Parts: sequence; C-alpha cells; structure tokens
Amino acid sequence: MHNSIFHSFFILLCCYALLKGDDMAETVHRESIIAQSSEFENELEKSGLILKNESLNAYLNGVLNKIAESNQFTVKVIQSPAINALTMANGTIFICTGLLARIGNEAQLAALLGHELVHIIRDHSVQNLVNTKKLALSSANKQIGFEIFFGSLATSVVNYNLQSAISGYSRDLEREADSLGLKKMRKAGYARIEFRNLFLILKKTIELENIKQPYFFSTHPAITERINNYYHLAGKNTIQSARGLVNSESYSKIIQSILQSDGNRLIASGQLDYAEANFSRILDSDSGNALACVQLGNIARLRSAPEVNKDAFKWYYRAKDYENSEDALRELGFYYFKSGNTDSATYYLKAYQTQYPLSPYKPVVEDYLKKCLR
Amino acid sequence: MPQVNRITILLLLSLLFAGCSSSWKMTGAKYKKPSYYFEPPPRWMISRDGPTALLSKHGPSLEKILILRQRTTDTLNHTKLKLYPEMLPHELGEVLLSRVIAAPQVTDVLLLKEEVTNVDYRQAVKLTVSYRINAIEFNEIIYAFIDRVFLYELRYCAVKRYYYEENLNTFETLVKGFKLR
Repeated sequence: MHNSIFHSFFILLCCYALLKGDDMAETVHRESIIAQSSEFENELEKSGLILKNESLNAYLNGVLNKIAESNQFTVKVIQSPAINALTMANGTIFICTGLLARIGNEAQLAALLGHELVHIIRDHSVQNLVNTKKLALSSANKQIGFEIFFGSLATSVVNYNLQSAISGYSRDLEREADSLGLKKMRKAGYARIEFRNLFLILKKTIELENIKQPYFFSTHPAITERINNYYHLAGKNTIQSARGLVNSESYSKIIQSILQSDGNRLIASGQLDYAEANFSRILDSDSGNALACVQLGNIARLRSAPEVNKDAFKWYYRAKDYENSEDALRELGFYYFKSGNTDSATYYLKAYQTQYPLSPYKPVVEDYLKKCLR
Repeated sequence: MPQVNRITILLLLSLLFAGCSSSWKMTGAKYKKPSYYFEPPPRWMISRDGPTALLSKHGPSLEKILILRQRTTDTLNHTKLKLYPEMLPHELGEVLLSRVIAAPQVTDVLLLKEEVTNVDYRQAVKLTVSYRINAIEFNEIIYAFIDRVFLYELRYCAVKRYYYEENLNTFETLVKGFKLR
C-alpha cells in the first residue's frame, strides 16, 4: 500500500520534473540535500542494517580521520553483501560489508575513503544536481536518497550495487575525486598503487559476476578508464607507487568478523568461490579457526553434492581439534551418516550431543542416532 | 475519433477495475488442487497462484501460511544452492535455511530448532527460525519434504509479538491435515 503511494508520488514527481526539471534542480539547496541525507541515515539506523561493531567502527573512523586530517566525518558499515559504498552530503560514508570483505588491505580502504571524502568536501552532491539539470531527475534523486521510497531499505541498498563506489557522479566529478583522493591517500602515507589495485579488484568482480557496469550518466568513465586515469595521475613507476603503508595483516584481522558473516551469506546464496576466498583469508591470519575450516568443508561438500566429498571430510577433521569445534563434530557425524558408516556417525553425533545439549540441531542428531542404532 | 476515445476510456476503466479486484477469497470450503489437499482454517483469507496457496487471517505482513510446490530442478529464490531428490533431511534444511539467510531484506537469522518429522507419512524436515525485517522480529516454521521430483513446503511466518503464538496451533492443524494426491 505504502509502496503504491510512493510510486504514484514518484511518478507525479518525475512528470513535474520533466516539465520543470531545470528550475527544480537549481532550487535544490545544500541544506535540503543535507537534511535528506540525515533522514536517509536515520532510516538506515532504524532498519537495523547498520553494523554495531565498536572496534571495527573505531578502526574505520581512525583511517578516515587520518585521511581527512579531521574528525568531522563518519564512516558506518551496512550489513549487505553489495559491493558498494555510499557518500552522504551530511558527512557520512557508508560501506557495505560486501565491499569491506573484497578490499585487500588498509591502503585500499584509505583509497576508497579518500575518494568518497572528496565527494563530501567538494560538495559533489550539490554540483551534481546543478550540472545535471538537463538529465532526468530520477538519476539525480539516487544521489540524495529517494531510492528509500522503493521497496525495503535493504533492497535499495542492494540495488545500489557497485554504483557509488565506481560510478556515483559525473565524469568530471569522479576524476576530481580520484585525483584529490589519491593526494590525500599519499599524504597520509599509504602506498598509491593500492588505489589502482582497488579498482582492479572491482573490475575482476564485475567480470566474474558478469555485472553490467551501472552508470547514472552516459558520460561516466568506465572502470578501465579509471585505472588508466590512475596511471595518468600517479605515473607508471609501480615500484615508486608501492612505497608506503599497506597494512594487510592488521586489516584482515580487524575485518575477520566481516569476512565470516559475509562468507556465511555468500555460502547461503551459493556464491561458493567468493565464500572460499573469505574463509581462506581468515585462515591466513588465524590458522586455528575452526569455523573457517568447517565452512571450507561445507563449500567442498556443496560443490560436489549429492556425492560425498573427501576434501570436506579433511576440513571437518582438521577443525574438530580446535576451539569451538561444535560444527565440526556435527558435520563429521552427518558425513559418516551419509556415507553409511554408522559406527563413526554414532561416535561423532554422540560426542556432539554430549558437548552441545542446547544446540538447535539436537532433534536431528537424536533422530540420526536412533537410525544408526537400528 | 470520438468512438476510438470511448473505446480507450472503456478499456482503461476495465483495466482499472481489474486492478482493484482482489484475488483473496474467504475460506470455508475444503481446498482441492490436483497435487495436494489441505483444509484451510475457518475465517482465513486465501489467495491461489498455480501450485501456491497463500493464507492469512489479519494480513500477510502480520501472519501468513504459504503452501508451495516446485520442481527440485527449479531455481530457489535468493540462492544458487541445488536441491536433489535423495537429500537427507538436514541437507534439505540447510538449503532452505540458506534461502532465508540470503534474502536481501532479512537480518539476524537464527535457527531455533531443526527436526526430522513426517508430513503425510513422508519424511520431512521442520525448521524453526527467527529473523528481522526492517528491525521487526519474525518467527517462521518451515515443513519441507521432497516427493519424487517435487519440493513441498508448508510455511508459517508471523510477527513474533502476539501473532506468532496466536496462530501456531492453527498452522500445526493444517500441516496434520495436509495430503498429497
């Protein structure tokens, strides 16, 4: 019902904009855009999609403050698998967990934040509206949060997929953000080459997932052009550009919970290659992580389903001796049950039942144990 | 020309009225479909779309019962994980839970209970999950089983506060009376 009202409202707004587009775009005030940004931010907060992780937020805001040389801006994390970042005119940058999980190190994070920061500092939201007065208002509305009126918040966030991270503004504004963002990143001591590497990661994602590059404006530079722009700005001396902070390990450690939750969601959606990359990264920084081992086992199992997979068994077996091995014991029991080895299935399912009596899987485990004993 | 205008207006009006008419019908008779049979709870509204039946008492955003049938080879919503006929109950439960986790508007998914049970004398899995949509807490029960090449699901989803408990027995009664033809 609400959707229909908003749709009708939006259609009327579009019709009005087509007739009065020029006037409207010019009369949108900076204050109005900031107010709408704050409203959008409040809605996101209410939706429960904003991640409450104090140590991660402190880390992200620390990097942002370092780049901005000020603490008047904020970065927040949205729980969404989208590879996306949104910049609000009120000084808040939102990064989706999906993008954080793809970023390889702190320098790449700094590159992204530096780029997004320039959009705020240089008032690109306002400039965008004025510069695009001859384009459809619907495109401009996406910059200031009108998307919120369509479907759920999560859907609108997902629909932003890749947009503002790589193509949120016009060609000139994006070039300016790249150029000044790169300078800010360098000034903060980060290796400039990671700016290019961030775009290479996004490019690979676009190619692997066969995503049609989304543009708000037909004049927008494609991602390859952005990479070429980097060489124009930073030069082709990659050795020189690689000098500076990268901080891969500290970044991987701090985003471990993100890699895990994003990985769980990727497995659930069946994107097993990306999930595998997430859990392998967790194991790189924490080789005794039982959950990562179990999830790598699950990935192997799901890939070969319905056949029993020996690689899956190896991962479960490795995880059973680590801390928090609950899932490993259960999966070993299920593995043997499926293989028809009832003795081993009984052993692991009983161990699971004894150690984790309050598990939600208790009734299934009891049922399988009964079947093993028959 | 005026004739054309009149026809256009009539067409537009008929489209408008068609759009306003509801597909919801009040229950009261036994619901028969070629593939399955169940007895809808009295005074619930029912909407049918092919092999899918949607029932609700106060409105689907507050509580709903969904009865679904699809081929195991068909793609599931929100996940690329596959179904296959000889799946064990916990494997079927895993795929169906994955579909809930991967739904874009759903957060804080928690599996409360997974059981092996029977629906119409067929081995089935029963999942009880909780999650949030736009910060509102929901509980959902999913009964699911595979019969030959078809996945059957009987789902009850309701706002956790008040509505979930109120209609739980109604749903369980419906599941007990569910039969394949």
